[in-house]
Amino acid sequence: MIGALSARTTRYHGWNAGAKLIALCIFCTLIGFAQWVVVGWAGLVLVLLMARAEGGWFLKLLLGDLKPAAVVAVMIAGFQIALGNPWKGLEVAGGLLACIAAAMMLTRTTSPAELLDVVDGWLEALGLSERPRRKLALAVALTLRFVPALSERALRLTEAHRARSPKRPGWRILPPLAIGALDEADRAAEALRARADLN
Amino acid sequence: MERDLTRIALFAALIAVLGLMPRLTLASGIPLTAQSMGIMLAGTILGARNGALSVLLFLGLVALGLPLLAGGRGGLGVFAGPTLGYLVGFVLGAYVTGFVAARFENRMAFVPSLTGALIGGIIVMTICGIIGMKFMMGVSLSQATVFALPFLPGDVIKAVLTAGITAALWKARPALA
Repeated sequence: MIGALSARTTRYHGWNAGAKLIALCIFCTLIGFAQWVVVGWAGLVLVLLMARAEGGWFLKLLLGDLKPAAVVAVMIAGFQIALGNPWKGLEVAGGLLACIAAAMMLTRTTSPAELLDVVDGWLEALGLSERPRRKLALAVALTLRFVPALSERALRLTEAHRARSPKRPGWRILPPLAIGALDEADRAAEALRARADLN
Repeated sequence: MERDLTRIALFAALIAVLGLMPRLTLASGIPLTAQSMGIMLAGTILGARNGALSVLLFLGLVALGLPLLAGGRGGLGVFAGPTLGYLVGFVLGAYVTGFVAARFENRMAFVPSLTGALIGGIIVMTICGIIGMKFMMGVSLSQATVFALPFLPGDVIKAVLTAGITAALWKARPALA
């Protein structure tokens, strides 16, 4: 399955996915409510130390994930400093980086299938019957099937356009892409109707 | 039932694929991807409810860690960033786009689709994005509005393309409306 799960196993991979998700929610909520500069940065250091405990490779992986967020954090801090609010800038930047680092750590150590199981379990605990949960699981599976199929179709249309025109295909491939995709979705619906009872 | 489900899944996938397409960069350096056009298309083609459900499914998969957002981003981290408002706006935007287009006689014709995309895909999405930036970046509403402005010219182009593509689909498959 495509995803951001780290190929190399860490001790955090073995932790319960539901517990990790709850811990992340508590962590982000605490940082959001604290409104002290030190809390966000301390949270970030804690997450990075946890990553470092697994080795330099995992810390490097997490720092790579943080790069785009770091650019935004520097922009925010710079903007607030220019406005004369340096502490506010540092508080927002630290909190943002800490929450994103923690969330990426969860994503790197938990497979999408495990997270889906957690969500399914929570929906069951909330009293949602099996049928809507089955539909959700089916919709997830269908989407994962459609992503590579649509990408391949877009590539084929782009090549066909290039073979016939010197212009860049751009948006011109979108109508045939959408029409073909809708037809494929309807074929999948017919197959589902024949094989599964969703009503 | 099955048709609704497969189309919702299909549009969740289409939104992901549009985020993978080559992106343009404005003169100001702001990158533009076709992903928000996927949100508008979900609203104009699937309608308000199913369009919003397809966006929710897409965001659910992003939250599970699949790198489906523009630039190959994914995971719960994106929901802790300054673009949180835009992600919430994706769902509301798709709903409002479909809702507004459905107020017209032929919801998939050019003018209804364009009106829906301009109101849902630009106004609603941008307002959500501005509110999100205000809270996540700790700036004022007027400052957040300034940050959002560079995206508007590209969004207008995407709304016009959405209307054109929806109208072309309607001609090719009239039963969709």
